[in-house]
Amino acid sequence: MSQLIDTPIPWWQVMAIGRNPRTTLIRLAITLVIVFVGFRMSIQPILVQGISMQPTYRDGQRRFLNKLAYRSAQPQRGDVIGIREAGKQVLLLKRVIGLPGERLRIVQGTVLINGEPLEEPYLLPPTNGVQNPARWAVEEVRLQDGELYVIGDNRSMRRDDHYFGIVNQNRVVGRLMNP
Amino acid sequence: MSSFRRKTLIGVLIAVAVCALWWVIPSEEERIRRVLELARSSVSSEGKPADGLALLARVSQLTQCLTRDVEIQVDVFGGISGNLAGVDEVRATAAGITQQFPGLKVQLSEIQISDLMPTSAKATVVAAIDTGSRNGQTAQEFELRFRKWEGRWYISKIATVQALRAR
Repeated sequence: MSQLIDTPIPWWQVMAIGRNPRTTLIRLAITLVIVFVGFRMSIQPILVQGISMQPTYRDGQRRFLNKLAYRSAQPQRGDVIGIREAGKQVLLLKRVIGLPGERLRIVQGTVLINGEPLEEPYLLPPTNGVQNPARWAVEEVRLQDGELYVIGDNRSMRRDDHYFGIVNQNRVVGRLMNP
Repeated sequence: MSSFRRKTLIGVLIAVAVCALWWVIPSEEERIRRVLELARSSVSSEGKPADGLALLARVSQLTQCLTRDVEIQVDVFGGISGNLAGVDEVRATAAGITQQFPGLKVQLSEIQISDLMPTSAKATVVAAIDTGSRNGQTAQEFELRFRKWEGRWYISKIATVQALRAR
């Protein structure tokens, strides 16, 4: 007559894979799937390329976008956002300086919002008392509903080499998480 | 044959029939996607010869996807820009590009077809372009207009989509 002997499971095995390894594996798989899906839905890793966001972000830096940032809130002035340029993988990284309904123009490198100069502490440090070495000029634009005005932080580069302007909010992917 | 096996077999046969029907009688959206794929494969070299008759055949395949009055407007920030009007201009330019970039590869993704009307439609696609040279990889979003004529869809307009605009 055979007899079943209930041998105790070693404590280290319980710690590592639980009392029932099969259940533990299933739980682990479910957790990994939930984490992976949640990560894909809420966070997008990005690699900064180019110099238009210097000095705040440099070429080659890795950052994360919060894709849920604007689910329940609107973009704010000063936010650094990812903009869909070509598909889901190629994004532009720009700073929001103009919000819907506002009038914006740039005179001698100074951004004017509804006629008032905008303070931009994130730009390159002043040189001989001039905050923006490049004296860019942009004619007045009035932003409609759902439109933002975005620009890079590097205003010392040539204006023609700097990609900036009005973007529709439906192209905004998310806000940079670790500014 | 058991009842379960019979039901399974009938299910598989129905699935195969639906797939066959979908292939033989595609939806309008599927027809448009096939035109896009035909245009893509004619532009993309992918090891195909790019001279003589082979070149003519590829350019001819491309022009079969276009209306005679096709318009192409390309404006890439910091890159190429220019307009082409009419199938003859496109034919000449396509032949030149194919010879200049024998290793050209084009992949289309995120194809979205909208405004589907009986004789017109719109599509947006992301084209990943690799010219085969160093640093020759780029991705660009395009908006395409389609027109249906005698039961076939043709591309009537291609324009680059800019994420940002001046005003």
